[in-house]
Amino acid sequence: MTLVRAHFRAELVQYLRTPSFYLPLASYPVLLYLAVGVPLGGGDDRRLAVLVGYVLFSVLGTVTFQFGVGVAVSRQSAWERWLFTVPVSASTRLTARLAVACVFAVLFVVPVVAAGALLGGVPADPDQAARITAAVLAGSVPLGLMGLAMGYWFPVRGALGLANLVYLPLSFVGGLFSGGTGATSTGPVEDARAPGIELFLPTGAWSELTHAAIGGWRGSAPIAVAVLLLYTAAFAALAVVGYRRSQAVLFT
Amino acid sequence: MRAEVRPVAGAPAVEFRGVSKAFGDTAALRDASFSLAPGGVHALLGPNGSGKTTAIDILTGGRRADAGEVRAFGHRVRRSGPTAFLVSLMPQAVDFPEYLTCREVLTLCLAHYPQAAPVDEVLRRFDLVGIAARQTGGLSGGQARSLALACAVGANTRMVVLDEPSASLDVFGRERVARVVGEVRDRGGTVLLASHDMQEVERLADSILCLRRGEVLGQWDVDDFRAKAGYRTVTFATSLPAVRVRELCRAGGLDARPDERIPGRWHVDTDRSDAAARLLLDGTGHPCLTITQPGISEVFERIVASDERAGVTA
Repeated sequence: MTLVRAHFRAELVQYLRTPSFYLPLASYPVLLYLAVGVPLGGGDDRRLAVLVGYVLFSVLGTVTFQFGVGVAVSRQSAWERWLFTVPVSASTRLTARLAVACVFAVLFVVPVVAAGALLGGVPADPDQAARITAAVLAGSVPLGLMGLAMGYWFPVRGALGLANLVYLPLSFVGGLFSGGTGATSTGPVEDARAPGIELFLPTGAWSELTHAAIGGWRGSAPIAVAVLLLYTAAFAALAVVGYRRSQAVLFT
Repeated sequence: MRAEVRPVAGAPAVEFRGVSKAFGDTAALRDASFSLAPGGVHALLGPNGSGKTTAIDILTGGRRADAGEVRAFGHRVRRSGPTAFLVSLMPQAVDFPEYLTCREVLTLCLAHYPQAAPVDEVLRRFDLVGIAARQTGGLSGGQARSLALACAVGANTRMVVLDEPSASLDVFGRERVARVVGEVRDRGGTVLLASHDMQEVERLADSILCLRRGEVLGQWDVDDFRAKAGYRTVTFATSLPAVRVRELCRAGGLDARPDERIPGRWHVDTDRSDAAARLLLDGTGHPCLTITQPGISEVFERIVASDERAGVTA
């Protein structure tokens, strides 16, 4: 535990001293929400769905850049090679990295939620909030693994390019800017049109799961869960193989 | 609190048995076998590409051998295994996280070792107090190496592996390296020192291990290593003309060569230094004689060169 704390602190401090990392990721989702999301208007559930879409966009930014680019950068550094020689396990370091990602995910989500509550007039009762939080966390697992896979498979420049390629297009196609498939109509979530092909994207399924959470787990939740599970398995396999491959390159 | 790992009683500090390692078609180590006793300073010498850094990487768990077995203090080496508590490394390439301060880097490094010295004490000991709050991205090369040395030595492990510790250090930094290595040796620790700086090796090493092209050329204590030269150099000064000096030396079976910088000063390499000294005392009056053993550098060059010739002949 002491070592996890030591690595957590070191990792957190490094990111906190890098404004070029956190300022864009903290401000971009909230600015986009204010410019695009708030004007969409609609009923309570729709406004909530739109807000949650930007929350997902924010979390997606954290996992793609912190895991994808962060892992790729650290993989190529002499410091990482040195850490191979000290008595610390890979799981300890990964736990610390995950904990830091959670901290930043919360830090990046707070401005979006605050803007939704204060400027977007978005209501949410505690039950809804708990369900949405569970859905956000569940969907962040496959996307976090996607970030790790990117970091282990690509060099820094490749991972950076891919992160940019994934971040915006996947958010857009997954419906995160418009509140997802459940918020494309002006009515409440349960009256929205049926989800399309985007449901089979990780971001689309994630968005659909959060909409189901808003509506009390109605709608396409089972399909969204199944899709997210499939992506979890696929990205986990890619991340593990990528990790082993990168270790083989460094270690052998 | 993490449990301290203890050495296996009677085990050597380092044991390589038939270790081979290749990178593609290039063999970095070939069937290398040697062992180092606990305690003292063991110098690891070899020309560039001889396998020194690969041997260090394998010993410290940074790389895995293709074949053979490596043990440290009786424990088999594996990444994050028990030997990681016993062996710390100051690597050749140093690259700290640029946004962490020296104190934070040191705190993180030492957190891995239950027996590590307190951070403040290490900062003082390595003259890092003045830059403790500075982020490592702003350090000079020498300061970064001093911090790396502090991380490795402050861990208080049984063995410290130093890969070119004095590279890019000024005279004060080199002095600090020498002092610290001496302190580790004095507290009963073991130092493995890979260096191209023969003055440093000359000053610090108790034993020498030579590698060339991934193979172990030999292992000696320092006196035996020097003796391998098979000669001593007799230096003398005289006002006699050069022709007369050469005649005198030739009569005693010696070959004198003039000093390139100081007129009237001569050198004779001989395995009979006492007889040469007597001859020069009798023949030149007051020759200001000095008899010196060849330095480690000269012996090392001879050993590598003779092995090179043997390789070409074979």
